[in-house]
Amino acid sequence: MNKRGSEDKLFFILWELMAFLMVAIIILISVRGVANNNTYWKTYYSRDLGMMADIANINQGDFVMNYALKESTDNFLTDIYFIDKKMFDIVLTQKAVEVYDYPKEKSMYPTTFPFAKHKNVNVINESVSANFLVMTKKGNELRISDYMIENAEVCPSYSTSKETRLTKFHSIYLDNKVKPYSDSVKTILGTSRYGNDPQAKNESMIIIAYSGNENLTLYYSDDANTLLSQKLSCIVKMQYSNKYNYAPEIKKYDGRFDINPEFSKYIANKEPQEYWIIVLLSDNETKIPQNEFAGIIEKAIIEYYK
Amino acid sequence: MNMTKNNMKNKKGQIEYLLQNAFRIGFTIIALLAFFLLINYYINNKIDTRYVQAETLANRIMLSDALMLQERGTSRIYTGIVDMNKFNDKTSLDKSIKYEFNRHAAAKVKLSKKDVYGNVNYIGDIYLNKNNWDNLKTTINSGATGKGSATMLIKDIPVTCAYDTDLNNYDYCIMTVEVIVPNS
Repeated sequence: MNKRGSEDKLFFILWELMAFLMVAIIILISVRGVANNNTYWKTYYSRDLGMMADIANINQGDFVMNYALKESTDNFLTDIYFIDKKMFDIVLTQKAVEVYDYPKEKSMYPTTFPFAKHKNVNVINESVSANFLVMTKKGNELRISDYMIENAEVCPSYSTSKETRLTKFHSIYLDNKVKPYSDSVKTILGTSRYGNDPQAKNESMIIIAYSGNENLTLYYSDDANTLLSQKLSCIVKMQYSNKYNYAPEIKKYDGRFDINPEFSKYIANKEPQEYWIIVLLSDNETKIPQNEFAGIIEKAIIEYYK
Repeated sequence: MNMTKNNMKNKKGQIEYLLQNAFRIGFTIIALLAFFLLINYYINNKIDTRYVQAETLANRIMLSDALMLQERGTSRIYTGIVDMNKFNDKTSLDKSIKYEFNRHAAAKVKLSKKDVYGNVNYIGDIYLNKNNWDNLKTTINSGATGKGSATMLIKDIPVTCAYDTDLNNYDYCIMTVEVIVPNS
């Protein structure tokens, strides 16, 4: 082969190499696209929420719907390609529900499903990027929003169903003034009635605290068990307001009892699956009979595990 | 090898060389296509919601104020009592249920009445999205399936046909709701 022939062959090999690289890049991009493909869930959520919005536009009464979106599961492709866990941006417009990959700004094409707006229904354009959202139709307003436990009118709908013989409940008190309330809760939720199975595990802790000049407040934990803690505090709130026609406040735990030795000892030694709520009683609540209070907690526990 | 060397030297030779490689390129393309087809085949991105969509729309027609009698003061809707004034205004459905996407769905609501001898007497019909109905019905009648065609749901519901809002003048009717949803 002369010099000219070698050059030609070299060019040919170079072109082949370039073509191979291009094809390899295209394949890698498309496989990554498939691995990152939320198409199924985008279609599912757009249709599901779109049809819900359609039903809401019948405009007959109010409704509130808690909606849990599926979190993406890791698979070998996402592991190989280091793809982030995915979420969605849900957008409610005047005529359709749009589902984008999260974040919306980087997602080019939404999956859209139309609904027919009723002339008297005011659809609020809103965008939500959360794994748990709420669609509400109140009066003439239809909107979607993040789930805010603090002012939710219905408690979370995710399943916490379990046999109560397998779950042990405990109670501690952070102030001697509320010891009788904690004791009542302990008695009523004791192992003679609940968690009497040999395989029962510690499940939840009702912590009773006291503050004379504050309103009755329910604190939920800000840890791995937040959702469980939120749900129980919400149900306790509903039970309490049903009985006394007064709705306690719900707040995220702000660390105010961290210095309390009982509380810090419990947090240090608690089992990972155990979730807790703090019931902050004021002078008003300490006037109600302890058994009544414990009854409210028991009713909430029964509803929670139903 | 010698032949290849010679072929590479001139233009004709290069073309021959390319043609010799045509099979190689062809098989590579087939392998790539197979790769993509297999990946797409095993990933399920399709959801068949045609009947749910049709049910949703049929229920919306039945439960909303589009055709049903509505009390003026309270806006309460009497589901199952068709307001014949609304029914006779042929734009009632389009006014009340308006999809921005014309190809989304279409419906026809037919009212008929059984007489004492059991004969069914046609009263009238009203359409939602009539143009789309005509297009989609043609595809259904032609027996076409798959994308571009449509799926139909038919529901018969016994209703009361109210000729005035005070229910002094009414008939017992059968409402047939036909909903067509395009296949996607």
